[in-house]
Amino acid sequence: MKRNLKWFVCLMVVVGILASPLFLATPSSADKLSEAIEQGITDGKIDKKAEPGFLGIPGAPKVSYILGFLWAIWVGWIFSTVGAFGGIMAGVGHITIFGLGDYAKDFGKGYPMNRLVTDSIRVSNQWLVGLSGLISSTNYYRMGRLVAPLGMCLAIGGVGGSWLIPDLTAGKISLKAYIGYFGIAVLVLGIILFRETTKAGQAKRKKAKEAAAAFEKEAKKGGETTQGVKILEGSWTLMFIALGVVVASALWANLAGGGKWLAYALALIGWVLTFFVGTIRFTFFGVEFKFKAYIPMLGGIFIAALASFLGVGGGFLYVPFLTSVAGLPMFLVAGTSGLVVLVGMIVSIFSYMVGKGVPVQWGFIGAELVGIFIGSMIGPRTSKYIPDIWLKRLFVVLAFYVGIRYITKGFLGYSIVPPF
Amino acid sequence: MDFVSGFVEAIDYFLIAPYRWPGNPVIGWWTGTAVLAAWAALLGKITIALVFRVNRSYIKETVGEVDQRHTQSMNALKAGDRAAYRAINRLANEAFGKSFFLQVAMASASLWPVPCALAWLQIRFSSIQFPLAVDLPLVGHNVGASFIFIPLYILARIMLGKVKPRKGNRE
Repeated sequence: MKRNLKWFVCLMVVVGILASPLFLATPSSADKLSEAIEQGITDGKIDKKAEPGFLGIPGAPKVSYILGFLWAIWVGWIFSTVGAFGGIMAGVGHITIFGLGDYAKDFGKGYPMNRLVTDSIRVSNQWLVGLSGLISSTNYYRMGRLVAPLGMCLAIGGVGGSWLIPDLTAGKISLKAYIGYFGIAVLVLGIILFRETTKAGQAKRKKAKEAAAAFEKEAKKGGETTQGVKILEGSWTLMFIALGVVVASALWANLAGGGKWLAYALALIGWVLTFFVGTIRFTFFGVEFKFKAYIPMLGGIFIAALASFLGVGGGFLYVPFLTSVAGLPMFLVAGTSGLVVLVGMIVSIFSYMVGKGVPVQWGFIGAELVGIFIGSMIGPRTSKYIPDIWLKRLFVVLAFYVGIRYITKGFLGYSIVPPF
Repeated sequence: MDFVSGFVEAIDYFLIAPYRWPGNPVIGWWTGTAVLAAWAALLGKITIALVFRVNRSYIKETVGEVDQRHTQSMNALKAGDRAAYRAINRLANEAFGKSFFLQVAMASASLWPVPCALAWLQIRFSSIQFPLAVDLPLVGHNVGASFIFIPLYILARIMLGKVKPRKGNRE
């Protein structure tokens, strides 16, 4: 526990250092925004006299706070009934429902206002995810379920991935392409959900429940529930160095004016170092576990990259990755991944807001948060009337619809499902 | 004027009052922002307490399922049944996902006042800049109102956490 505490304090300090400048972004954001507005006016794409809308841009859609609030209730309802799909729905709201997607697209590929609005949508999603990660990681710390070496290896990959992707793609991806990639992610999630609703998926689930029932007696005996994690083997020094190097790469990339190659080199060095950490062995509930340090590191890179690119949390990917691929018990993964999501999102938001000067509309995020927690109170009350399988089927249909619509809109330029 | 703009205008009078209490503008700034941070922390705390109360039985149920599946999977592993462990671990994973996202959604109850306060500060004080002792890269030598609000909010949260000792199981 003492080691966990030290690790937690260290991470919180890093988080604090990274988080505080996020709120300082106003001067550089304002400049980027006014530059983009000026260019729009000069090119005749923005009418100077039009009424200001989203982010104060003249002629931009006036995002209704009431609509944002109502949509967020829907998002909160999904979060509290089905889970991960809520993050996707938050993204759908920002892109489609509030009319920001079509507005940004009108400026054409590569145009500054298109890039600014696209990045603002991503950052708005990330704020929602990051704030949630903050609370959930605090809860898991209280429950004593943060596993330091696992968290460090994930973070080594995740921190690098979450600054590299925004750095390589911010301003280079048009909203059209972003929508297409977002659609692919939604469709993949829909396919995963669909597999669970098929006969084979249901049979598998039934078998698992039978197996669980077989171990029910021992479960009732309890007895060993107080046993925590005990680390037996693992190179702490190398892990700390590797983590320090990738955090330095993120800071260098965001704060230093030039010499980007050094940031790339540092991230690469951190990742390579993890291969030399070797195997980590620990006991949990009296059972011994081991994993190669580079496995969560590689997972961390891929997941954080995807999460920060799409502006959604990686939590829904971290947990299945580590339980299915690395074969670790759910509790070890669950508590730790919340913290990694938080660190990853902070680095990513930092990269966008401070590094790239992307603005967000605070009042709107506030209205959305209110909607989400109201939705989370409605969810438990309605879910008892709707069987789990039907909830899943509902979201399979939604995921296929949203996925196909976004993929075709993003890559073909038109939707093959209504509204066209 | 939409409902939110109307609401912001209505509470503006209330929020700006502490800024005017002391005669000195600098002391007034610190007092007002500290009161704003205290309100944000208190409001968040009240809301999350309310949400937990409303959802208590459901949270207990979901967290209970997560715990049960976890213990079952560990028992399977201890018994050497690797296949059962993997299958039950998957169920545990699913139960955790449900419980996790429910709590994530509920977590927004404690944080919603922060962006609202930041939005109000943006409306009220966006033109005011505070000089820093050192020049920070990318930021320059001036910072906005939020720079002072956030540390004060964190301080208010810590102090509020200490005022009332927690009782019972947090889960």
